[in-house]
Parts: sequence; C-alpha cells; structure tokens
Amino acid sequence: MNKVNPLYLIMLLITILILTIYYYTNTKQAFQSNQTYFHQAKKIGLKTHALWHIYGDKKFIQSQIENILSQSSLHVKTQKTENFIKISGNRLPYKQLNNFLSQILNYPFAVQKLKIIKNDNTHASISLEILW
Amino acid sequence: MLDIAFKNNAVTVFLDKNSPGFNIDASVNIILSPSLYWVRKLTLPVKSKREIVKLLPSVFDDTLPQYNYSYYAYKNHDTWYGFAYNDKEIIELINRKNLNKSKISNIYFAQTELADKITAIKIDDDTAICSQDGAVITLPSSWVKADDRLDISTIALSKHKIDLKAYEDIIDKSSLYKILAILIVFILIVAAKDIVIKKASEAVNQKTSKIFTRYNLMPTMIQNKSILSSYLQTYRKQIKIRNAIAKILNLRLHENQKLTFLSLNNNTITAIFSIGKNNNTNNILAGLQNLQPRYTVDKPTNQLTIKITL
Repeated sequence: MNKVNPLYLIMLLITILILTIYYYTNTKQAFQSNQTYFHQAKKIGLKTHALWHIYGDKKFIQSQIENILSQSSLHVKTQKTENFIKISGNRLPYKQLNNFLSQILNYPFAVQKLKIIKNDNTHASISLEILW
Repeated sequence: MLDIAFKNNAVTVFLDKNSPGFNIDASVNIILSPSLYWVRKLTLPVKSKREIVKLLPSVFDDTLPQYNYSYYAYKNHDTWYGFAYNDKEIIELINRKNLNKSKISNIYFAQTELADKITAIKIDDDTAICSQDGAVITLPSSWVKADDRLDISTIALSKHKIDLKAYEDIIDKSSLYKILAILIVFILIVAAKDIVIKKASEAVNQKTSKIFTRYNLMPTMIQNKSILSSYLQTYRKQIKIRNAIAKILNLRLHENQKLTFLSLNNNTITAIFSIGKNNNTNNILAGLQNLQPRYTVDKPTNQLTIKITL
C-alpha cells in the first residue's frame, strides 16, 4: 500500500530544492565577494608594490643614486640614515649641479628636503634628503 | 468472529464488506474477499506481466462500473489471471473496519491465496466462499453445505501481493513521477552549480593568498589601503614638488635677476631672487602665477622672496 502521501514527497523535494537554492545563493554571494576581494587585493597589491619599489625599496633607490653619482663629476657627500639618504656638496659648478639636479628630479625619488644656495656667480651649494 | 493468523509477526485477516470491525495493533496482512475485485482467466499470446496489465483495462471495460481501477495479473501454467480492483473502495473499507493503514504489511487476493486450498468454507453466518473452476467466489452460506469456518492461520501467503494507490485521486502516478523527476533534476542542477562555484571560490581564495604573498601585503585590507594611500600621497606631493621646482628653474629672468636660494622644507618651497634696483618682479610672479605664490619684496637688499605651499 502506498503509505506516503505524494504531496508530502513533493513538499519534501520542494523544501530540499529551496534549501539547495538557499545554499547556492549563499555560495554564489561568497564567490562574488571573494572575487571582488581578489580584484581589490590585486589592484592594491600592484599599486602598493610599484610605489614601494619607488619609495621604499632601499636597494633600488641606492643603486639609482649611485648610478646618477657615477655619471656626475660632482664631489658630493652621501650619508645614509634609517629613513633618508642625504647628499650634500659645497661650491659646486652651476652647470654640473644643474645636470645633477635634473637627473635627481627626473627619477621618482621622494625628495624630502632640498636647499640650494648660490655661493658666487659660478658656484652653489646643495643639500638634499631623499626618503627611502 | 473473524479468523486471524500470525505469521512473521503479522496478523492475516480476511477482508470482506460484511467483515466485522477489527481491533489489531500488530502488522496486518489482508486477504481481499472476491467481492472486492474482479478476476478473469485469459489465454492471450503475451509474454510479460507488464504487457497483459496494459491490456486489462480494455478486457474489463465492458464489465466494470465507471471508476478508476488498478490492475494486476499473474500466470498460472498457460493461463493468465487478470484482476481489476478499486483502490478507493478497498481503502474506504479498510478505514471502516478500523484497520490502521500504516500497519498494513501486504494485501492479497483470495483468488491467489485460497483457490487451491478450499472447496467451500463459511466466512460468517451469511457468507461463504468456494473455489469453482479455479475461481474463488462468494456465495450465500445457505447455498453451500460447508460447516467449516475459514482458518487462514494455516495459509502460507503467496508472492502475489498488491499495493493500493492511496493517493491516486490527488495526483496520478505519471504526473507524480514527472513532478518528482523535474524537482530532482532541479535539485541536482542547483547542487552541481553549488559545487562548481564552491570550487571556483576556493581557487579565487588561493589566488588571493598568492597575491598577498607576492606583494607582501598586510593581513587586512584596511592596512593595505592605508599604506597605498600614504604612498599615493607621497606620489602626488612629489609631482607637485617637481612641477614647482621646474617652473622656478625655467623662469625667464632679466639680466639683473638671479636665483640665489632655493629650498624645500616640509610642504613649502622657498625661492629667493635678487631683482636689481628697479625691483621689477612682474616676469617672475607671472611665471609662477599658477602656483599661487606668497611673496615679499625686500627693497633695501633688492630681494624677492617667494614661498609656495604645496
């Protein structure tokens, strides 16, 4: 004898279907949320890494500064602290100082302090702090 | 009194329209009285039970009153026995006789259980059953001479049992199967999608973890946003510094004008120009107009001091 009312069976399957849809909707929302988080992390990660490379990668900054100094005949002193590289020089010829300053400003260093004082008609002193 | 038999913990009862009410708590096997079904002997060239059951509605068509019937068939030697019964009528009788539907184990026809075992036996004072030409039939008890009452406790039940369609009037079997199949297919589709998306979600999480490792990101997005914001602030400030210094260094100065001092400290760029005795500063101020400079002119020393706030 068929003891189970078919309507109960249909209701049971409808309930299971509703529950399955509910879990599926939650999973889908979690998936979309994870995807959004992934894209956000990727975007922020790429930008942060790129900017860290420019402003926080000490090896990169030091190599760039050494490269600029090696190409210049300026006699300057460099001093490294935990947060800065300081470059200073007195009575430097205008033309060479101008080239040096152009190169420094063309690189994306984080220049924190700069002081140029004219000594006479052909020389000037420079003091520069670059953040790293 | 009705005869009952215990076999495999189930009580066997003979169910007839004239049966008295039952009061049984145990499981029940029911033998249906011939008055509850129609039976026909058939010699048809069909091989399977399914085929003959399909033919039975047309076989009984001219005999049965207009109701919904269920059909059953079995083969005995070369003869098919076809049965037609009204589920609703039997269920109503079961209810009337106080039999608990949930306790019913199996339901049999008197034809399949008693045909070979009896000649004539009384069911109660008014009714008897007998087997005639292989068919079990009911008769008024006065028509037969039998004094024995039906003792079904000795009967070994056959394999010919039927299922009553208790809910066939709510929904027919075919529609029920279709609805169930559709629901099951939907459930499977949604469940499969759920599994696929869960796997995809796990893959995305793994990729996110790799991103965090590759770019040395902090554990929370708030920290990372804060770090990025700080770097972007530095980036924007450096652009402003370079623009301002470039404008100062590229000024078209007059012959008597010289840049004597340039400094950057915190957010302020200071530039000092010697401007000669005529104190003409228009060209300098015009060149720096976009930077909104604050300026002072010191006449005794002929100096123009410009401060630009970034």
